[in-house]
Amino acid sequence: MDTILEIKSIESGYGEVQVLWGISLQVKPGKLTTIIGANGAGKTTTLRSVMGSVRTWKGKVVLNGEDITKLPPHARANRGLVLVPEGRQLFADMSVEENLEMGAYSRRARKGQKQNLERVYDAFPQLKERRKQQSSTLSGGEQQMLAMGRGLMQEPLVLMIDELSLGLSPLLAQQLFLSLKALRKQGLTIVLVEQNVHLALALSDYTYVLAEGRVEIEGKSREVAGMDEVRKAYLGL
Amino acid sequence: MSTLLQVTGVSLRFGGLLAVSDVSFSIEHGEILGLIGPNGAGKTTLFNIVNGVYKVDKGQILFEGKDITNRPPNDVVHLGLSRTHQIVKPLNGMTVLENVTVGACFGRDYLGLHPARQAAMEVLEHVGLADRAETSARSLTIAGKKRLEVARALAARPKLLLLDEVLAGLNPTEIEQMIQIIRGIRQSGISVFMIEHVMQAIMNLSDRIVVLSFGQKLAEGLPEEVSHDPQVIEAYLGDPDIADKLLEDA
Repeated sequence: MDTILEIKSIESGYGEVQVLWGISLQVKPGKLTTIIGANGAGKTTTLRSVMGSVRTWKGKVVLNGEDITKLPPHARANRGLVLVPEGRQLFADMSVEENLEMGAYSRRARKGQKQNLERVYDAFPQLKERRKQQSSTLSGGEQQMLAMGRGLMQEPLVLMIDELSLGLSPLLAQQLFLSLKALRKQGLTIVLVEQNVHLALALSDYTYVLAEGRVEIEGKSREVAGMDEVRKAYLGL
Repeated sequence: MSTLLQVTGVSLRFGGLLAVSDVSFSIEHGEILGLIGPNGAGKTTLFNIVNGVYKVDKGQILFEGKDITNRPPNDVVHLGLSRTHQIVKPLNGMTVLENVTVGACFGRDYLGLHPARQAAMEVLEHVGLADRAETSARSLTIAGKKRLEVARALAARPKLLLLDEVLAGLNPTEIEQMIQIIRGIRQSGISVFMIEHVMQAIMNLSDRIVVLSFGQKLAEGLPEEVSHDPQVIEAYLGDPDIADKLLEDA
């Protein structure tokens, strides 16, 4: 099967602190790929390097056959790479619908804006009910839905989500996971960083386990789920 | 071995949040005790309690049998308890040697400037910074700054050294070097209490591990035991049954 997004031995970090020490991963179209690993393993930095908000020191990021390593984030967004960042980063003073419109800002997404809005409201009916409401007044779960909705407005080729369930109640987390499952069923390519390992493994097709800036384990999620090495990647022994 | 530090039932509340809740543990003479736990577990807060940065609401801290509960850091350092900080705090306007000299001047012994400089130079040899003695602290790499942080705490001649994430941000070679430095510190008779996220390192270095989660002591034991403890695994990997609960189609 084709690879839609390929990361080839990237190294990256912040200032003089190197975080990624040669990460390689392949994302297959229509699949849900998950990245797990302990604190500081490099999950968020990997997503940021792919998005271009953190510079890649070495290695390559290839989207749909095109080397995008040197492109700025907005150019990557224009090609269909979308990141739903940790902490959601919504426009707090804007309404729900205005936030969604911001997601359709890129050239590639403007045309289909109306249609996409309907699609987002189908996926998250709660957002439609609250479309005039200021985004900062939403609950945590609704804010996460809005962040995902804003991402979907961009017609993603690959939707990357950093920490979907962090800080959410089980009930809200459940809603989000079920929506994610539905999106995956519709054929969307998704890359997910998720702190609950069991959930990530149960939900995804393929899993990468990072430890200290490297890929420690990779494989079909079903197979990775049974491995004691996952525990070891988190706890060292 | 005899007990160097005895912490009994310490609790600390920040507003509505119980940051540290009824935590007890002890450190023996010559021991390396590792402190681990997920983000926000209260590890650094516990350090701040032990060396007197924070005053506890409840509990007692004995150091060599002496009650040091709520005694300030500048006081406990004279008894032989010093620490490093997770975010390195060099005195940027000073040289490397001057930074470490400060540690010696205000450490366990009140050293005069001359003997303090001598003591500082010895410590710099131990941590491999002797050749950088006259450079400004500001110009060190992150690995150099981490070593400087350790050196300054060591220059205070502690009996117990608290190390807060001294391996964070280092590359594998630098991690290995720092591990050797820590082993050397213990060999010289100093006990070590360390927080670390680089798991392989802390599991290999520590004699025993204490695990904190949501401010409470979740587990304590040998690295082997702790890393196989179901409660610890759950704290790191999440609820094992959550997938069944959440993913069945509602």
